Amino acid sequence: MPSERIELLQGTLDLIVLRALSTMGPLHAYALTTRLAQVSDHPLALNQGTLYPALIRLEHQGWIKGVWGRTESNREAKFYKITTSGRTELTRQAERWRRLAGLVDKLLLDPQESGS
Amino acid sequence: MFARLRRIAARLTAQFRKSHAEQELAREIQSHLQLIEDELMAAGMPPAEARAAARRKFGGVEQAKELQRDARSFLWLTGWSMDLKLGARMLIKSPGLTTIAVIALTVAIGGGAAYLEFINDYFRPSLSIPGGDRLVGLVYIDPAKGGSEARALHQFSQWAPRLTTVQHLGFSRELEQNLVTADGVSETVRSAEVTASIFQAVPIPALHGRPLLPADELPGAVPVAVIGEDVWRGRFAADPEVVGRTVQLGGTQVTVVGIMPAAFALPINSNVWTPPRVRPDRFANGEGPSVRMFGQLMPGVSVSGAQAELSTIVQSLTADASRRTSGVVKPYVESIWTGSNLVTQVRLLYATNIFSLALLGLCAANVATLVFARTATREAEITVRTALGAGRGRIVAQLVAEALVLTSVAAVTGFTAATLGLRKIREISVAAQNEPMPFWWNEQLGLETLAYGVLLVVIASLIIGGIPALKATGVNLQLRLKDAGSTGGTMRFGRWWTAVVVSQVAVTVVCLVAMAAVALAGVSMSRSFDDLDLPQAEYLTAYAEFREEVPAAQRQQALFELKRRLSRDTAIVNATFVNRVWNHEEFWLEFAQPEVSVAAKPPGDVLWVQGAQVGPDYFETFGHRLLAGRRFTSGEIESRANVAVVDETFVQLVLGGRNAVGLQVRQPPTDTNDKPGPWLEIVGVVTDLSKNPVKTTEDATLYRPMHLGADTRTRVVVHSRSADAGARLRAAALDVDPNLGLAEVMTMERLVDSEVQTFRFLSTVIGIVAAVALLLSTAGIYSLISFTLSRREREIGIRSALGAAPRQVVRAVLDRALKQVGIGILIGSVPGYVIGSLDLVGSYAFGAWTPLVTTAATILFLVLVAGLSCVVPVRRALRLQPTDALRS
Repeated sequence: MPSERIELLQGTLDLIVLRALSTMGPLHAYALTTRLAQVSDHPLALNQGTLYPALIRLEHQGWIKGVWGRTESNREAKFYKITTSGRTELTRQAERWRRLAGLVDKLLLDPQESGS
Repeated sequence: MFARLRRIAARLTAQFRKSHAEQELAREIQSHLQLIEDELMAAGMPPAEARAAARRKFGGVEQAKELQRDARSFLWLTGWSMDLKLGARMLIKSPGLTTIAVIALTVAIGGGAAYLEFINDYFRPSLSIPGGDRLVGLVYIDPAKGGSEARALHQFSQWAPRLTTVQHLGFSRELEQNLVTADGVSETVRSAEVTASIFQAVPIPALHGRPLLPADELPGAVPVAVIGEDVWRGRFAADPEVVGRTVQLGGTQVTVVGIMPAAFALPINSNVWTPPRVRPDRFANGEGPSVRMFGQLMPGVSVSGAQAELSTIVQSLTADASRRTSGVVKPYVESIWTGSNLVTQVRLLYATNIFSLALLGLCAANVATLVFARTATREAEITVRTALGAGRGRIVAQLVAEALVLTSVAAVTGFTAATLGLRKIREISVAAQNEPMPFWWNEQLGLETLAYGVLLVVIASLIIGGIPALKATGVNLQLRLKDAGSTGGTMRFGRWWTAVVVSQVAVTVVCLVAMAAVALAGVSMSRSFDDLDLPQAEYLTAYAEFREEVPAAQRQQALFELKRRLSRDTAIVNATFVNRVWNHEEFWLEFAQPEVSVAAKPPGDVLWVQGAQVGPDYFETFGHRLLAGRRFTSGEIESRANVAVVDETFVQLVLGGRNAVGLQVRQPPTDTNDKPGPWLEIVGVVTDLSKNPVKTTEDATLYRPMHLGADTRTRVVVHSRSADAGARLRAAALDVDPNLGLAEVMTMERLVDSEVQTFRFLSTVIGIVAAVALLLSTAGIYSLISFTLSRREREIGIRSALGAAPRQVVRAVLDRALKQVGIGILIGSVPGYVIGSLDLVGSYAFGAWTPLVTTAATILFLVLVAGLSCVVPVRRALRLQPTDALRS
């Protein structure tokens, strides 16, 4: 039985995380996974643990910054915030993604459809 | 670009803050789990269930940590650290190989490091004293005088006012002088007449009082002296009140004005400083005493900048363009060697380091042989890893990392050994010269040496790990996979390894012969001393030293006076002067009547005998009995008459027992002197000094009267049974002339001991190298045979099954190893014989057969050791059961 869950394309997780942080403001890792699950209507096959390498990668690049803080329920958590260079990177990656997706879309269109 | 750099920097930081990152990650995951758990509990799940569900929802905690670790580190770096760990484990797993390799590499790396450090320390040290890095020496070069000319006060007076790039210009000269304290005790100090500028250039503060000042140099100034810490402690019991007191230095009463700490020993190793007694501008070109000129570069000026200015000055001062004199500016210590033959020798010394590199290369290649043999046992592992996708580079990197662990261990022990060796060199040198090392000597290994050591480590690791790895991975994978299951394997001891084993055996022969030759020389030297028919502890030797400006006639007069004073002292049996106290100079000689000599048969043949120039009462002092004729008269010594006295061996071996008295001999023209010496008439025959029964014509000795006072240094020998002979000698010298210094005062026993010690040290060093060479050869031969055996086990099994005799089996195993040992011995025995033939001591040989016997004995020894290393594998081969061999 084919799974309905979507496997993430390599390199797209960084883009998704940047986008989520840019719209939602500072988030901790758990909030991030919840948010990703919400927006994707649950089909995103995201093992919560796999988020950590992406976070550390983005932090090393200087695109996000993690700061320890407290949640609404007064639990301690590390909140990640997108940086200015992160925003620039997001614009760049989003543009590239749109171009790529457009290209793939075009290629996937039925030849008859596109021909008519 | 910047993002990339930032990422690398962040990862590097993460490498060094691993534990912090780990804690941070654990804390973050914990908080993550807690948040899930909270949510589940809020939805009504019981706590225990919520905790388990949270973990399930999160996924693998450890896996997440692992992924995060990968993301924050360099994979290859982790790989390397793993390789290094594996390397350390392999070292423990093969203790035999590790021990042999570490010993060999310790000697190679330690030897190379010690050698470089020694040359650097001696000739090009970095001076750690304040202002030392800008301290320079100035040297006057006059080709007409054959190089550097130390009588350069005239030049100093011309250069000093003109040089603007060098400050604190000054000059110094060292001389041994007597320091007489209020209690009348006289002892030699290493004094230096030096301009006050040296204390400005090297501003080390005085312990008490003050350093010398420019005002002290002015004519009419009160004579002053600054003393060193060791003199202050040794002679004045560290009494600070000594400042202001008057002492006698040489013939002058001087006031002590300051005490310098031990760190100050300029110009070389002085411990008393006085202002110069000379005015540089009073001297014409080439006149005045020998001095060293020094100064300090102005801030921002380089040595070449100062050199350019000095060259211009010298050029402008030289009216006669045909006289190509020049001035040289060098870093201080280098300047001390400039102009002497030593400069070319220093370059040669550095170049000689190629030998230590060659030694390292050979040691490493041999260890590589052993590693290769071991790698063969891991062939299956390497093959499987290659098949699973490990690149050749990956496997080479792993073996190089393993070798790196090995060589690093050896480097640590090597550096320690180097430091100990240098300490030993200092001890020997201090004992032999009876004075401390130059102030710049420092046994701590310098940065340059450490860097060189690291380079040696890298080279050795590449050889030890790289070559076996390349050889092991070079074979076609398919072929290896095919053979991986069988015992045979595909790795072979090819030509490369053969060459390594052969050259190792050759080097072993050379080293062993060299060690034997040096050891024999040491033994023969100490035996030649033992054979001296006199109680060495009762004989005291010293150098009587005059200032250069004392004329030769006055020196001679003073020495005769010293002899007279010593003769009057009842505690002194006798005293004399001689140019060499042992190991006499070589003396070529020819006879006026050639037919008298039995040793030099054909007409025109010259002989080589021992020669010594002796002062009054020489024969009485050393206890030579008169056999025929007479001894020298004091008139003959004073006038340096053309007479000679020979010893018994001369009469027996050179003249065949003929009456020597009345015969005439002379020195024939030599390479360096194309005029023959004057004819000397033999006036007497005395007994031999040595009681050794085996003698050659080279032991025959011819004595001539000494030209007393010709040199500024003359060897005095005093025979006394009194314990305070040294003090008596000093007192007599002080009486004769307060300016007559005494240097290297020691008993003949101690003199002999320091000479023997040098040889002992040399033979120990060569012995260690020889032992390493032997160890590596043996291990190499052993591993070669074992390797051959393991590769041919099946073949030998079949041959045994088919009825081959044990002899044939043994031959099959040993054939190749024996051939390699044979070739190695052949190659090594030629240079070995040449080294063995070098006459290291000259005066005393074990006979003409010595080199041949030494070489032969060495070869025999090596064959024996090689044979022993074959025993174990051969026994294994003979015990091999055909059925077992075939089954395996």
